[in-house]
Amino acid sequence: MFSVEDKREFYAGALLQFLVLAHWLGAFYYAPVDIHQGQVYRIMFLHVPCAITAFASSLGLCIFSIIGLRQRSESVMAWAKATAEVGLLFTILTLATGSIWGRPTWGTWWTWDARLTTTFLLALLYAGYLLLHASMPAGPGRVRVCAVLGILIFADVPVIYKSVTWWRTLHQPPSIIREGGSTMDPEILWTIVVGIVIMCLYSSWMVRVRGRNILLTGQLEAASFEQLNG
Amino acid sequence: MEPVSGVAMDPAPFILMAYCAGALGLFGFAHLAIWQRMQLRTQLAVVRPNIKESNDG
Amino acid sequence: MMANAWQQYRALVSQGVRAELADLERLVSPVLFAITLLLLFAFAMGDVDDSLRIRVYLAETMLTALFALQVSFARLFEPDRQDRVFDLLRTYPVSHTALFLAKYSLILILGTATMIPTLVFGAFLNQTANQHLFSWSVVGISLLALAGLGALGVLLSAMTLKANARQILYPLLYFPLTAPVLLAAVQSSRLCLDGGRAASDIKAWLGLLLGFDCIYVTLGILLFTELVDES
Repeated sequence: MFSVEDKREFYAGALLQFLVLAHWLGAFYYAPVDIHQGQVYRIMFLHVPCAITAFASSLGLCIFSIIGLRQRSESVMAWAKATAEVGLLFTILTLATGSIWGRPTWGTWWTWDARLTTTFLLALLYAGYLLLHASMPAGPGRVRVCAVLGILIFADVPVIYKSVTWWRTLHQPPSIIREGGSTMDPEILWTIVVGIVIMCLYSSWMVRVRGRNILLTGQLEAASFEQLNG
Repeated sequence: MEPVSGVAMDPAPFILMAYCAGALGLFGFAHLAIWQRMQLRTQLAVVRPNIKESNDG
Repeated sequence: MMANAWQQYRALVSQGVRAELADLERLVSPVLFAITLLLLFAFAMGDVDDSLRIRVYLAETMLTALFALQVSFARLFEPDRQDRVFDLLRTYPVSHTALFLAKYSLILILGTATMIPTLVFGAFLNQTANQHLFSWSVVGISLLALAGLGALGVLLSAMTLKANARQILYPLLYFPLTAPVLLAAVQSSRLCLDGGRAASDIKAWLGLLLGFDCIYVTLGILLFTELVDES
């Protein structure tokens, strides 16, 4: 039943899930305790990779959208849709983990902090993208419209990143990429960097699996239609 | 503004909540996608038994 | 002889303006909608402390203007949908940039006609003996915001033209995309009205507003061509 490609994907997925769990173990046993926040800061090792991946997904969406627009290709836009789904998942995880981290740290589940608010907007945009995709019939029109929206969504991402610097609110100022180098403990920094890499690989794998599922769904619909028509 | 520290709350439930949410989201989505792949392959095998498996785009 | 892009632009703008003027309801209804919303906000807010009055005024009027503009934007291509005029325009060898700029100019005209009465009426409803809220700086900032909002409005109108449930989709997509413009407009207006603020603070927000206007207008011109292209 499964192709060789399918099996390779499943093994890759199993390996990546193992790496994610190994990273989480490292987050608890390798990284030292933070002197300001204590143990609760360990949520950051999940929150930051999810946030980076959520933003990186918008770049992926933009790239697929540009290629899909140039080639007028529905199969490329299937990959774009898969990227938007994965992006939405990671944005929701970013908000959830950020909110959970905020409660013991800032004393509140939600605050109208610039980064959280604009990440919420990114989640709405991904959801809007998927709704737009679902509301249009398949065809060149949908390819064009969704591709344009994918590019527009990416244009919104820079303000999300810059907002932390410009608004100077409750959220941590940038700790990794800043002038004069990072102020973080090297063990913590490396744990985060490794986490970001693993999460990006994992999200790429998720996009691949979902993208192929979408393409297979299209094939199944075409085959069913053929069968119906004899 | 630096985050407020010294809030007297046990961090363990929050850490557990966050990582459970992460596990549910990350692994749940992945396993759902794999399950969907199984369903699609089964249905495709019924509809088009001679379908070439390399033709996946 | 085929008209050049400038002649096409002028023809399309005058066609759009005449279509709007032919049905005055299209001009008046966004303004009436804005006035109604302002009244609703006033009822919901109740009595407002003088210290919060500027924030409340800006929040009410900017949001009201945004909602009222959305009414105009969503209906931008309605005259062209009749008798498949838009499909004819797309396939006719008219410059797509001229078409975008014509719709964009129409939006700027309609938007200005909606925004200024909203700001005036909002200032009128929220003023006190000690605080007069109307300011030409705020009008200027609002028009700057309109430049960015308008470009996005034209793009999204064209995008949702053939989508089902466009009444839901349009605001769902439009409001998150316009949030940066709205925030920059509100922050810079507040700094203007508060008075005594460093010019550098206002400049930073105006810079962000201008930056996004440039980004959205450029993207609008580039992407509109892709949207309407039949090939």
